[in-house]
Amino acid sequence: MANLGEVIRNSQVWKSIFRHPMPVDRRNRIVVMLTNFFLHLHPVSIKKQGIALSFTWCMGGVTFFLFLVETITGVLLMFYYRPTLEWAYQDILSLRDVTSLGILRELHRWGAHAMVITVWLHMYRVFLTGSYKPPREFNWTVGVILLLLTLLLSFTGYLLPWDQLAIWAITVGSNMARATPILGHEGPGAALLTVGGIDMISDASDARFGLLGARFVGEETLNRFYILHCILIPLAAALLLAIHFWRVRKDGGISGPL
Amino acid sequence: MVDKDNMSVDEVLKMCRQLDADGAAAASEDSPAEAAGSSVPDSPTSASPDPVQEAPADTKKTGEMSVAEILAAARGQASEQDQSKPKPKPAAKKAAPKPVAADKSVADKSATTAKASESAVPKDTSSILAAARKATKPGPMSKAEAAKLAEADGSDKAKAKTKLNVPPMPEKPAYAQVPSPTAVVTTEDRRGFISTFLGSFLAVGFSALGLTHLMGLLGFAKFMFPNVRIEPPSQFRVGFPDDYASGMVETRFKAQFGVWVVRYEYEGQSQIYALSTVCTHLGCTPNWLEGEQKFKCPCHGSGFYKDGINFEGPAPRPLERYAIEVGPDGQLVVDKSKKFNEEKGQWKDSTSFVPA
Repeated sequence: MANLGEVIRNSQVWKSIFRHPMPVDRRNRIVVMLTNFFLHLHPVSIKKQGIALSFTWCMGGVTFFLFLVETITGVLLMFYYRPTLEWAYQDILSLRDVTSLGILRELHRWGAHAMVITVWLHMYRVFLTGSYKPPREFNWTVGVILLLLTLLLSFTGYLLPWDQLAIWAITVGSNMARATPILGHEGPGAALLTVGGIDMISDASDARFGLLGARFVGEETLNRFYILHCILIPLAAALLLAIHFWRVRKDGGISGPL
Repeated sequence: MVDKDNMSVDEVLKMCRQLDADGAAAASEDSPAEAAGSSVPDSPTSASPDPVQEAPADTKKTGEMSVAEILAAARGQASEQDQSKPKPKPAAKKAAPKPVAADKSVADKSATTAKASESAVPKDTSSILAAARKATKPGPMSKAEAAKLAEADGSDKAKAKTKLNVPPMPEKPAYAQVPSPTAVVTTEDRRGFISTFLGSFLAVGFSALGLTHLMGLLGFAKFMFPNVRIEPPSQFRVGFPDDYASGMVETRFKAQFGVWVVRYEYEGQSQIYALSTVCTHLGCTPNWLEGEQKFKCPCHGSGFYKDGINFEGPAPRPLERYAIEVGPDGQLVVDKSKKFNEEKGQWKDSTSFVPA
């Protein structure tokens, strides 16, 4: 059996994937870490204080874990959900009643609730430990934008089951957009953008219209929110997460003193 | 060589031992020191040869004389001297590390002969330290040390190096002249908008790029606003005026068209009008409660009378009316594209109701 292991490890297939042998000393451990795409994302070594739970609460890590859970469960749900007026509600019911491991829908929903809670706790912890002070102030800003993206993910995802709760929640929420200054047709300054007698900002051309894709929450809104929820906002969040983690390391490490 | 005023303890000790070890050499060393000392008038250095000369008298074997004894002998002379004498001594002591370091190579030649004679003899602290410091001190040297080193090593070398004849710098040719910066920006020098954006090929290129980006951004923004809306027709028929009894609220058009057709009084006049089913609070759909004769919104409890006026809950204004008229075939026609708000006084508009 030992021979088999050696045979595999000395095969060209193995050596082409794992370019370095199994490390037995610190230098080779570092080499493996730094030359591996997945492993290099995590620092080779961190300070002991970085895993002090009473200090970090680990909420940032939990939030990122939940983000991954949401991504995986979300992708799986996409196989059985169609974002149309005809099928949206029925597909959710089917996921609950008929699909194997349809509990994924609940996991996705509970994960979303949990992620919102943990992201607030993470923000709270960062504030309490003063981890927003220079040189970490830019990372705080990135974090706030990530918070907004998390809330937007919740908002756009809420519509997708297309039940009464969803439709009216999004109606009420998006109605706020029509009161935007200048860009909302019921907000102050909407008349400022009147060009040659034509209202540039009306109920069919204001910010709310751009958000919903129509004058009322309907099929276009469902499609639009589906794309926002599954593609655009997760991509933006992934980009900002990369910057967020990069800055943590560059600014002195997690929970590192200044 | 050695500055008599700043002679350190170690230097004193070395002097003592040199005198004893090689009497003639020490004496020859002493004489320039004496000359240096005598050249400075009023200085207490006149006393400094004394400890040097008296020390050999005191010692029998330099190697066996302890440091304390040497110091005591040296101080014995110092106590008879002026008060200024102690000053150079502490100064000498303070400067001890550096001059000692510079000095050891100076004393190297004499020290080697002196130490050679002492090699068989038990060593005291200073001799051990001096022997240890015999090797050139590693690391950077201060300028004072380097100067003393150069002084001791090769005065010939130094003399050869001292005077380097550097010819004066020739004048810069015309093409290399640096123009003096103008203090005042005149009108001719000021950069304009055109020159900034179109002044060079590079500027034109980047301006074009920026313009293209801007146009692209605007294009993408317009992309997000659909040009075609698919909506139910805004005009629809809701039956004949005679179908409506006085005080009646018709709810059968609520689901499909989002309108209640009501026949009731407003400001003393009996009217048929079409009320919007959108609550003026946050947009939910109220329900008509026949028993209580009011519209009640399930979301936050806003209440409206039959004529659409809000009276309870968070609704800030009455329900909105849609335009209604009698069509060519005699049926009532509602047009949702026109809205009338009571709080703006628009319910007086004849298009907002049909007199009944």
